[in-house]
Amino acid sequence: MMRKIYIPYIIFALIILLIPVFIHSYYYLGVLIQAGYFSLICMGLSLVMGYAGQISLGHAAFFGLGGYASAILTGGHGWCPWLAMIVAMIISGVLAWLIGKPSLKLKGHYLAMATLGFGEIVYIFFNAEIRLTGGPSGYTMGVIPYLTIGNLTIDNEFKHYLLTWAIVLLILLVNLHIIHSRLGRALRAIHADEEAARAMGVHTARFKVWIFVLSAVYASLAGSLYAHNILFVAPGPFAAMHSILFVTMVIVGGMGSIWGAVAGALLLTILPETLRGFQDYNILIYGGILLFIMLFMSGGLFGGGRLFLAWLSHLRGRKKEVADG
Amino acid sequence: MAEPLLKIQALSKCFGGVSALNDVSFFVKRGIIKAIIGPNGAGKTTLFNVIAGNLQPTTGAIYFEGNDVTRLSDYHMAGLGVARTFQTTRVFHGMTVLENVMIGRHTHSCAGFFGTALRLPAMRREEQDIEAAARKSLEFVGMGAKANAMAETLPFREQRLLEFARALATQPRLLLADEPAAGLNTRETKEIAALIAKIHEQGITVLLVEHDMSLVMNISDEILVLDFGSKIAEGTAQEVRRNEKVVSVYLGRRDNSA
Repeated sequence: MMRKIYIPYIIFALIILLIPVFIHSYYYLGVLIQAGYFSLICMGLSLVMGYAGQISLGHAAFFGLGGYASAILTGGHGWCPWLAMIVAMIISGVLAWLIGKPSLKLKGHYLAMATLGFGEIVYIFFNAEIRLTGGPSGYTMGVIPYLTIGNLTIDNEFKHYLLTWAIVLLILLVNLHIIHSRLGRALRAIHADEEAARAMGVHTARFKVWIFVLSAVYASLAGSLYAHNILFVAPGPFAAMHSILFVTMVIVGGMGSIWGAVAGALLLTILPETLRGFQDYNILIYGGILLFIMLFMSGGLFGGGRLFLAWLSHLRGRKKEVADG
Repeated sequence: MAEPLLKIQALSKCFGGVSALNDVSFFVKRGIIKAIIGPNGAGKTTLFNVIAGNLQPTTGAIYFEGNDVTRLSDYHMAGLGVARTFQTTRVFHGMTVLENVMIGRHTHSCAGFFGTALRLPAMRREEQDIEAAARKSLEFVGMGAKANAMAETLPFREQRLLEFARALATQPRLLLADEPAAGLNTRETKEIAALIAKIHEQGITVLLVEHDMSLVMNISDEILVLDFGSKIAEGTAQEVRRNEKVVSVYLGRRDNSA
């Protein structure tokens, strides 16, 4: 059973690790690094949307909390970046728990409302707490260091690419393990029929909170990596518009599919860059492509992919029937 | 006398001004098959939902194995050993038959986040145990060959069998079966009756709600009759059949129309 999961994973990992052999442009690697951060965020968000059946409109805030916490703790207080990263993840996780605990108990889209408000509060906090965050012009109170592994300093796009995607691949593997386990089965059962899942002894409310906290921790991790790459944080990338972009990525990729989350993040990060040549029309084409995916692949890229696979096996089955008969 | 497995004490449930259950008391002895019958709207499914923890009673108390479980939620009841099947089948779509049954082992396993993320040996062993137990349950209901089919592609009869396998995988001490024969033909109903008898032989107490009188009369040790949310009779099949109130309210109505 696990073999079916590992083979596509290994192929994907090889492709990702071979890309820098062919692409030397720091600009393109930079775009792919960005896609890596968004993949991390979307993998968590996809679990929340696809399994807990809830929408978070505040994941840019968790992304930002990771970034700012890392910036302040390392740049302002001289902490070890890895330790700061873990502390940032804990802060984001605790905040997610505080939001998720009351709002996930209720039926309906209360999490969407709570996270929308939370995202706005965090954004205002980044802008207004000038003594701590530097305000609208960004964090300038200290120098954010590059990450180091032993004696290796992660100081160029090539190294950043490898580190970021190594972490994305690790989290991807963790998520694949979760989905194909006792916890994943419980999540899928919640997705399929909440009442029946409870009748099997699954504490559905606890699972939903747990998965939301996990997704916030992933977003925070992405934010910390971002801070140590750009070496600068400002409120801009953590605004509510980005939260909505993440939700769009998950929907385009296919809700509830871990692969879909990565595909959606890659597509919607690379697409605007490749459409730059069309100048004034790029937004129009971008919108057109999104519309096409939503209209003709209602399950998202990977929902559609699954349908395609089902169709293929259906054809194969028919051929076999013909051969047998 | 041994303590009853389930004791229901003066249970009432109101939805707004409508009282769906009205001062219902009874107990279920260990190791029996007990049926709850009654006309449509008598409160049978409400009673089930209250026992299973889906609904909270307005007043009254429920004791399971001597413990007060009145206010416990459904997932908690499942953990204590109360399993249920639903009137309209509720198998988990998008999952295989085997995976559906494996959910039944949820409360008997403990793999957490780190064990799962790292796929530690203990977790993999537990996963194998879960699968073995699930396969056993599937064999028990005669669905072993369908393990890898997607649950939603099964015909109705097999979805019902799957629900039984899933409930059995939880190793219940009490099985609540909500109209197990609903939607089945005569032959399939006999098959379900045989299955319930076989489950009973395993030492599992069964409480069922049913419309199909042949099923109820043949396999139940005791029958409870509800009408408009109140208990009107209780006893063996013979006793209930002879009870005038029951005949007029339930069986009688059926005879007249026939």
